[in-house]
Amino acid sequence: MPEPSSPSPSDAFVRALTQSQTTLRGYCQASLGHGEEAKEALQRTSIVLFKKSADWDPDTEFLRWAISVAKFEVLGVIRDRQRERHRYVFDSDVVEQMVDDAEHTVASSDYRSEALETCLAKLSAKNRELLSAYYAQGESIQEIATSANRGLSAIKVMLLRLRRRLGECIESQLAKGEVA
Amino acid sequence: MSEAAFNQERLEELLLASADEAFASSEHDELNTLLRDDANARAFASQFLALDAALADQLGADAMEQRYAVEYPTNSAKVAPFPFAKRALIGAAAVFLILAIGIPFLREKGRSDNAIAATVQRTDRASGFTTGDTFRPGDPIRFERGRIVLKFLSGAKLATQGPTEILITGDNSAEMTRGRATIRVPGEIKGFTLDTPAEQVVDLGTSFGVAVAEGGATSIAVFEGEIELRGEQHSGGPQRLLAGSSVQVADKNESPSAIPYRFGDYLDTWRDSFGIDVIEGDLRIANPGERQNPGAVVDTSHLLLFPESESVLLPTGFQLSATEPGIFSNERKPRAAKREVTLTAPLKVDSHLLQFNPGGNDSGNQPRRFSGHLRFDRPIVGLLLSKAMLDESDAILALPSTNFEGIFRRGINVGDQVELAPDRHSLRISFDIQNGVDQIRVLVATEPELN
Repeated sequence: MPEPSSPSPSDAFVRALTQSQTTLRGYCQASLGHGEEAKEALQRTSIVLFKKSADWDPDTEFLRWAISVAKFEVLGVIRDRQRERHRYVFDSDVVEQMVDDAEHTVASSDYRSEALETCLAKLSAKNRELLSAYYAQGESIQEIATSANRGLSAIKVMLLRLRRRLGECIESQLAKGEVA
Repeated sequence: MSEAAFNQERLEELLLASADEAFASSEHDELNTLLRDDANARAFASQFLALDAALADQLGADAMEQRYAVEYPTNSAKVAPFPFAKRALIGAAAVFLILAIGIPFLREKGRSDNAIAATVQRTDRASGFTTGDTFRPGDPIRFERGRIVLKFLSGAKLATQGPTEILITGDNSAEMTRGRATIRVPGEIKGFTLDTPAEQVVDLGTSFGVAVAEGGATSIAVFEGEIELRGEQHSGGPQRLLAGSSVQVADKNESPSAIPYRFGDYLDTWRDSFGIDVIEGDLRIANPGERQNPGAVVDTSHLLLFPESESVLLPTGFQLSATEPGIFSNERKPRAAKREVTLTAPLKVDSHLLQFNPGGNDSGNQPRRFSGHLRFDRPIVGLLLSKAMLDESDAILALPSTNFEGIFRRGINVGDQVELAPDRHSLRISFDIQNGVDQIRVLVATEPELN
């Protein structure tokens, strides 16, 4: 009989997988760059993790296991390129190099939600809206520039400057220990 | 900010541009060249892209939570708030959970000194271990039966059989208090350090075997290259050991004493370290001394498998005889083995040379069929079956010490047959050997499959 007082393995698994989505997404994107391939690798990873959910012991760290699966799926995505002649963001040999950096990035960097949230809260409403338009709404830089009646270069410069400020802010937050 | 040899601003521009459908071909080439050539650029790009992913999730979650409409900076045009982009929705659910529940493991994530140091590349009946399992410094590994192969971040491989007790101490080091292991440090990597209760072993570009008995007494056999012994007892300086030598050390107060070199004690873990599940029939794996120069090895009784270079990135345009399962023979079509498959993307492989060499004076040999079965723990991704392809690939796939001068009749010949099974892991070989040397190359994926 199942034990109603504790979460079933599938509950624990679903929660762990959901909690890991941002990190897994970061890993896939850091390995494959922007584009559909990173989404495909993330989707494949989630499917494989679901299929292998019984293999995971809830007493062990989920993320390490999930990243090892994600690495395999990222490499699977570029293996499948052999069947098609597309131009991808990263060439296959570059992806081979990037997967290791991606693992370091998600394992050792601390893009924690709390720090990022704190830093986003420090931005002006205008800057936050610009980031939201680009990252959440999925607007292209050209679309944002057109809507804002600004030049393409101006929007690019603004986005890059905001990203730098956020990166510095996150490092600062973590260094100060403001975020646990 | 740390100094960057690359142009960081340009890299940022290129990464930003790469998210756009109008990403120009010239920018693509520039970005890939920059990343290919500069490790710092890759590390920076990795962080950049990971932050992008976090931003998409965080801002998507915020938007979903607040259900506010975005107003652009310099005009008042409203943008329809929903539906959000799909990419944001994927992360939004996760971030809501993060905000609501918190994520202990994210807070506990180690910094660089506690990053993943080793990964299980292969398991064989070792309870509790799965291919792909990862370990950080401080993680113990214990099991009573079975065998596993660990690959360290440095590239060093440690194949061990139970009962064994190992502590991961770094991305190029470990401590072994019980068990038997083969350690191989391929390529240019050096400095892998293994501590035991009685000795410290440091590789100088090599492969070696270590057996630690109950109580800590340690036996060490050097297979290839050389090692240094740097235990506490070597106060006068490290002691070097060369290939073919073996010592035993009782404890840290004792000096090593020479013992007979017995490679056979490590045959299983030696084979495991190359990912070979099965080698049977008229086949055998080359021992370390033979491996260094296949062209000079004569064996009239066996087909020999020589593990060659590992983690070789075959470039786009590289030609192979076969990449798909099937039966390969030139019995009916003498030129069949010359059909070529051209890689359309780079492929990272470990190479193995399969050879029959009965020696120079073979004219009196009677026709004989040699057959055998090979199975690898990773997929076989290519075969090189023709003399021309073997000759051309020697430069990148053979070990540097190899000399094939005087080796003729390479490739499969009339009467030979090679069958790559549909699962891509198994290879059945049947060579009809009359004279000369038969050779083929078997290329195995460097990265393991997760079952």
